[in-house]
Amino acid sequence: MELPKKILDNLNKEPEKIDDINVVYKSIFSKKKTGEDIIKKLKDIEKKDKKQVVELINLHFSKPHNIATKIILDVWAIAFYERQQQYQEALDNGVLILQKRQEDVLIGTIFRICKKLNNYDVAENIILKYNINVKSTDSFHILYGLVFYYEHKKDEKSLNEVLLRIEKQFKDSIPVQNTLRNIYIQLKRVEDAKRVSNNLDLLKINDNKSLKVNNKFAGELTESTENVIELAENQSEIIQNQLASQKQVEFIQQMIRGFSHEMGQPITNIRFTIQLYSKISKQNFSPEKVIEIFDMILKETERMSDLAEQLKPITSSKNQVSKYNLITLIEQRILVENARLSSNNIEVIVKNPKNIDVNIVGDLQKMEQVINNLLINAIDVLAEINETQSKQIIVEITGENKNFIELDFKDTGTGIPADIADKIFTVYFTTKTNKGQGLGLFIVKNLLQAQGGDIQLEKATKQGACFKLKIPKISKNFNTI
Amino acid sequence: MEKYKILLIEDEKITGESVKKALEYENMLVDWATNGDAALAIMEAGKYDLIISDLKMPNKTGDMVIAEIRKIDEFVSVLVYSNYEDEENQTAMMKNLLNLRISGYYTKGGRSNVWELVDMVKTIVGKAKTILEPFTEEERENFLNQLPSNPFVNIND
Repeated sequence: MELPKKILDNLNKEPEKIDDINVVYKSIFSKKKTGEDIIKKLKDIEKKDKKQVVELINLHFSKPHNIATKIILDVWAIAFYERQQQYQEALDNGVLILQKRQEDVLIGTIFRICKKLNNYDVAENIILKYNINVKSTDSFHILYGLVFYYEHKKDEKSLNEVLLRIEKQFKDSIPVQNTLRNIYIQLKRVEDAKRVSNNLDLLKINDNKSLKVNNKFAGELTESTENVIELAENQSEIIQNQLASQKQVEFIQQMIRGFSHEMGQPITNIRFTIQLYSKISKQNFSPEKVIEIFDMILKETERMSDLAEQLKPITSSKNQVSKYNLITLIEQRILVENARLSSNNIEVIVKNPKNIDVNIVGDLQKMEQVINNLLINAIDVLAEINETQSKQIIVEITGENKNFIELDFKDTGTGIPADIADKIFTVYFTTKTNKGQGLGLFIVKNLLQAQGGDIQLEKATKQGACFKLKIPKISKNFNTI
Repeated sequence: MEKYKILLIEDEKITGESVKKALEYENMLVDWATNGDAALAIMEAGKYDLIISDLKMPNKTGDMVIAEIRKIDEFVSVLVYSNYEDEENQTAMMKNLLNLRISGYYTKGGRSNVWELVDMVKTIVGKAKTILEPFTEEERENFLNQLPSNPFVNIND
């Protein structure tokens, strides 16, 4: 009975992991297989067990005769180390490979890792050893690496040389020009970024043509594209931050412009009144009239200070992120406005029928301002309608998904006419007279968007206005606005 | 002398009151509407010598109202006063106002003076009157007296 004995032996044997790995290694890294085949296998394993891939390539590099025999495999393995953030292994083995074969892509990868580590010692050795400089290479990978090396060294002159070299040499490549634009944005060189952007627009128009011209480099083009896409993804977070800060500047500009416009109203009121009466009442200024004018001036100064209050999202530099309960926050805001609510017979209903978890991580102060502005708007509208009509504000948590809580903010007021619906979130828009709150909804929208949320007006409502809010469970960006 | 008739479109209560009183002090008749729709409801061709309008108002903005007014009265003088701060759209707004043939623009705010506004109103209405009003009897006599006695004698020579 041959078979059962073999099985029995296997069962009795202590399974050793090293043995297993060696068996797997031997089956995958056979000499007959091409680098591409091996990579394919490793990618399959990666999906199930990343650690095993690390062990396998450790094993591969532990045998000196393997190194640089299948260069594609080696380059992939180094990039894999990088993805696993095993930077030291990547650098050590990368240097070994380079000793046997000077591979541009690899040099690029090593530069990239040095950038991540913010330590260019290894790259510096390579530069010296292989005499790498702007003029010595045609490789995009190396030139790209040099950009960040020179930036790290604060060598402006060489940095400019490399950037110009990339711009000229790869002037027909969309992915390279894309990357270049991203680099310029990251370096805050807006003018250069614009120039490259313009060039990109032209390239995209001629896209089909240029592909035909470059046909014989198709392989290289795809390879460099793949690499550049990866590079560009590394940059995208930075670019997003740049865009966020651009948006922030726009928001501040619009706020201040709106603010100075709104300030013009009380200022004009005070000036015109004083100018009028100092001419027409020269002799007979009754004490009653004087008191009336003083009262007016005091009211107008209150209005100015309310306006200044609205600038809070800009003036308070604190970005306190905390965990808070949305419903508790809403209820507290309602309490603050209680006097005005009850004097106007307004009822507020807060509902969470689906019992959705309303704990949020975000900027409490900003959310308070959002709720406050909506509440004040609704009260102002309801205060002006007939006493016999129902006066309700309904705040309802209507739904959620992975990232957002959905909230409806409704009132039973006169509603918002369809022809002005698209204007209500702009800075100059107001439906109210003598209130100077035209900034309210503009601020609400910006505060929500800055945290990754949004607000919209429901178009088809029979009675009153209904705002639909998307509130992020965890604020996307804590440092904008 | 007949009083000038002014239509004031202003949503700010205190500003509107001051402007109305200042114009009335200068012997003008003032109708005051607090929004565009109210203004259009009382607007008639030839009824007013001048329209004064703000730009930022609830619902209909000043330029929208003036465009409607032009459909009712093509020739009435219009004076816009505002403190328009929207730098990006300023050129577009001013072009729009020019095409609506406004006669003047006064800036509200920190350097404004209600009597300057009144002076501007008087200048615009005064000019409009000199251009549009026919000669008085006396003016016509004077004008005819200045002409040569036989102006058309040699016209066919």
